[in-house]
Amino acid sequence: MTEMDEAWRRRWLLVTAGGLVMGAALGVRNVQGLFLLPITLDRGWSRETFGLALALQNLLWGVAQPLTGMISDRFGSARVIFAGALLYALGLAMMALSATPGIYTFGVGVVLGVALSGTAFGAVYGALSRLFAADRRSWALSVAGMFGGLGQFCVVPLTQGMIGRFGWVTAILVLACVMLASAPLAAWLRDRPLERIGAVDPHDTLRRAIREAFAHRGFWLLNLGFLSCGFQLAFIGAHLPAYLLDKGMSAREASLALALIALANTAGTFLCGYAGGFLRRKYLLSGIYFARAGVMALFLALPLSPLSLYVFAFAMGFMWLGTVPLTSGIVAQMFGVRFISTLFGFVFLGHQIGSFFGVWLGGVVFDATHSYDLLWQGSIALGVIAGLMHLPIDDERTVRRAMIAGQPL
Amino acid sequence: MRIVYLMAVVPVAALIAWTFAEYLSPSTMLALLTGAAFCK
Repeated sequence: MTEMDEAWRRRWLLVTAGGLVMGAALGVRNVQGLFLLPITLDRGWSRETFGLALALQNLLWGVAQPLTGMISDRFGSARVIFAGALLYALGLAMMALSATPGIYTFGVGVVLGVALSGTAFGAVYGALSRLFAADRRSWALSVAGMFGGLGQFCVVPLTQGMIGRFGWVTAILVLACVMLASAPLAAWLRDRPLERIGAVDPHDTLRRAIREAFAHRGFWLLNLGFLSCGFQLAFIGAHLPAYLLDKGMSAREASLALALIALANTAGTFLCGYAGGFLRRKYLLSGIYFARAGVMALFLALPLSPLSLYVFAFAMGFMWLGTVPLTSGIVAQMFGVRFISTLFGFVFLGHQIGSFFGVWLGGVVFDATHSYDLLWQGSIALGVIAGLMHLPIDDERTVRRAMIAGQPL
Repeated sequence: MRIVYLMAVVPVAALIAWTFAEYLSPSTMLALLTGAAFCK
């Protein structure tokens, strides 16, 4: 095997390890809704209990992301990912075995929320950003993102099959074992915190990095754009099935739309992330937000039919999480990789705040007007605003030099 | 090299096809449509 082959083998190993951890984490998170009926019926708890735990999880995921990012940047991503996977398994065990709503809410809301911040985008993309040289970073993030998308797509029927065959408790415990099994993969993601090898300016502190980022207009624009992204995805993901059923579409057509979104997301995440390697990321992000707004406007303007639904689902799915590797990439490009996990964590917090409002306002507006029209219009407007906001981002001005030590791949 | 790619691509394609079909099974449909709002 030549030296070049060996280098590529190692690169594939790293992105596969990161992708598998992220695929498992996102996949398991994505199937939690499947447990609504079994858990509420079996335990006799209300849907409010179930919903509160998951709402708390989303919020905690966002709030914890900058904090786990700080730990990653200080002590290395591998430790965070390893601990995150163990915590994930513990949270799932609490979900399966808790006998009271309080323990259930703590396990699902708090433990799993924090665990997600250590195993999903922020942790894995942070590790890969540090491990790969700038010219291969887009490729690495896009391949890992593709695994993440595949996990989200494939875990749904596998979990449903387990619930039907073995019961929901066993199904959750199997998922906990999957997360346990993914923990050792963190060993491949041993990035090197630069201060440990004495390769950085001692005055270049985390506090200074955060201050510089928040003083940079581009960082705020990225935050606001990502908030719009979270709002759109959460609104569509949470309320699309109800919207379709209200409009007379069948359960089969609604399910097929969800499957198409999940499948297209796999390809879209890869291609959007990969394109970031040779096209300017801010223009790609801007294009995605404009395109989302256009697709939503067309979907509403055209008569609703199975064909228009499937085209909409595929197009939206294609642009679903492609924003994540691009946004992470642009943060690394502008601010360097030393504090990438922390800085991306702050941007991701904006995404989760947007998600919260997307789900919550969807319910509030529907209850008040018996229609989702206002929310669709809001989502379209946010898409246009996010598209415009990315254009003036000064991404060519490197705020923090990418101080790379060692030999990135 | 082609065989290696085929060995990777064929199982993944089969998994995707099976997964897609399973999304339309009655139990998955019911679970998805009742629980979708909670997992985003």
